Amino acid sequence: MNHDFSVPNRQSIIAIALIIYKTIRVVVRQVWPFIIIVLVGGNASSYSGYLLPIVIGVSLFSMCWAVLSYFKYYFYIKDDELVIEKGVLSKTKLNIPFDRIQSVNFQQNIIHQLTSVKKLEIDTAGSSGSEFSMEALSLEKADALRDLILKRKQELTQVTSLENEEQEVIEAEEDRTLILNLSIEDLIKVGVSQNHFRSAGLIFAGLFYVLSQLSEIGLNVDDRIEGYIKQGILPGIIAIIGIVILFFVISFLITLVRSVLVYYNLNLWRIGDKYKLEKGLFTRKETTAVDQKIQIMEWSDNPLKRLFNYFDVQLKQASSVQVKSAASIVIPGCSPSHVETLQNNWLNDFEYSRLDRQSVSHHFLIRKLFYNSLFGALFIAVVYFFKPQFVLVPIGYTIFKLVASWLQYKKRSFAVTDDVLYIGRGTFGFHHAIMPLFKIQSVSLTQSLYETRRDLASVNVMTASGSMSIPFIPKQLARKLNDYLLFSIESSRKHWM
Amino acid sequence: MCYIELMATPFENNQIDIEALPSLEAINFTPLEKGYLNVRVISLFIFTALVLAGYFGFTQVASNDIPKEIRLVLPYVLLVLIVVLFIVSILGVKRKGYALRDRDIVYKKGLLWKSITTVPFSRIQHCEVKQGPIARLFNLAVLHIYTAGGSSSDISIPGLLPDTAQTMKSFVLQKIKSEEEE
Repeated sequence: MNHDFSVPNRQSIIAIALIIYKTIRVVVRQVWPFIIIVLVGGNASSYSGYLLPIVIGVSLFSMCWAVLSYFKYYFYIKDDELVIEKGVLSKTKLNIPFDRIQSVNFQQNIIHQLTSVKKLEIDTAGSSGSEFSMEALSLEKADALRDLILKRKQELTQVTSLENEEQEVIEAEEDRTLILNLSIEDLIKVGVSQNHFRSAGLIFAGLFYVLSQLSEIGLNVDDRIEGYIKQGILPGIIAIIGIVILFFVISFLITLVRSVLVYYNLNLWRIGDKYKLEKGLFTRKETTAVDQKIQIMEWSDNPLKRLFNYFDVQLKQASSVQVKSAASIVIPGCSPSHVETLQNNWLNDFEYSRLDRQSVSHHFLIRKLFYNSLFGALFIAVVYFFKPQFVLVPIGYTIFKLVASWLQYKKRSFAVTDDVLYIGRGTFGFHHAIMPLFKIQSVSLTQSLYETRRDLASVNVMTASGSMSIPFIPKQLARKLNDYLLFSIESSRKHWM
Repeated sequence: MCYIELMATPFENNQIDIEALPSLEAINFTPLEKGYLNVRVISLFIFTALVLAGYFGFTQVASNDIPKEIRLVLPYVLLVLIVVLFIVSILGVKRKGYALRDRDIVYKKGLLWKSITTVPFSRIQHCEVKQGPIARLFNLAVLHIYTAGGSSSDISIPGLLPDTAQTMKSFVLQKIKSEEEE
């Protein structure tokens, strides 16, 4: 089907429903404690008198708002710019030049999928407010728009850089190769091997937040729980242990289900010089990462992942500080050979096994042990002074920290080749990072008092997607490394992005 | 800007002698202007005044809630901290210095925590000269150099004469331009 984008276009009519849905979600997020109160009852149920009119008012308002914004939203293409006109009360006109567009991504939540529309997100090179989105476009229209933008953008770059004879012609969609696809079995392995302690912590924090919100508006949760305990529903220590186990089982299940939903039918494609990642069951997400924009590649495991022989790979793209999280793509469940493929696509001639990895000075360990025992001793003393029956907790914590220090020291390593810097770290799992030397933004050589005394120094490397450090290496080596890194950056004619 | 490396020069792959590379050790750092010490001392006095005001305000409002031991010890702790801060900052001023090289700008600082940061011209996003109210009294300016690596990667060189700062800025801008043309 042919679409004419030179005249003002509207989004798909479904957009109205989606805007209403979004507004309601925002409202519910703000007032959910009240909703719970009304449902549960509690001593604050006097609110329910005015609840109904408020609900009706908000719904009517958001519906009118959605219809109006829908009819006031146009987009069209003029002079190699995507123009968006929108605004109910104040009008806005956005011009997005094609050559500033970095990538065009699609997203589909369950409503999009049922009504066969897509949300279009446009990522630009600007530093602030660099993202634009269109709530709903029909599938063909979205594809047509993206193809048009990318094709025209490619033509524009070809005109401006004629001197590059090797400039590749735009890759048609057929030229893509599938690098990775996660089967249901892979998904379950990925889900099982997530960091469950972290998700348990998040759930615990979430629970705590819910309780504090509820008690803030007058629903006294503490009293209720105390009431249950007094009634003998929760007798003593066995109940506490039971609750802890139950808590971990629940958080395990939640992470498992969450990973399956988020990573469902994950496909990683290689198209020309970029990666395209599709994933998700209810919300189908599509993201792209271009080789030039990727600054750091990381692959990491944990003991469970090592058991399954899987890594999580992270491709960190350059971005402004504001949109940090959106800028890196995470690919779970990569086998060692997948990791190798990704490395070789991005860098020529990189082989992990050929790296001459060097460890850092043992003073790194000594200083970590020193600080952790100092802090631990203080912690133990304070607990022993005030609550001697709990003294085992800080003792256990300190021992854990000391063991962790040793593991961290064993895993710290670095290597430099002709064009790549490698840094390895981790506690229980391994965390590897590589970056091409020409993508480094600046280098700094630092020395703490301790390092000065031992004639050691650290080298810190800053890139457009985060910084990394090589701590506690002999000062002479650090200086040489510093000089070598600068030489490599300054003698390279490649542009970092 | 082109992404793909230009193969204009014949391919070379000589071995690099690390010892022969331009080294940080060989750099003669230019110290900051003398007047910067005054700027530093005055800002420290203002900071101290704010801390003391906060302390007295706090003790007036909440004196009954603080245990007696803490109330007795706190002023001495504050005093020691402020004295240490003064000594470290004043001695630290002498450690600060900068250098311009053919292809990068280097800034060193730090008494207890030393650091030497180097930003290649080809990685500079933009630079600007700023003048704070206290610095203006002593006719000094700051040169800020911004990269895409975020705040840890940026450098700002204080205690420059406004003319020097402007000259450095235009030198840097001209270097960025010539590197882009290369």
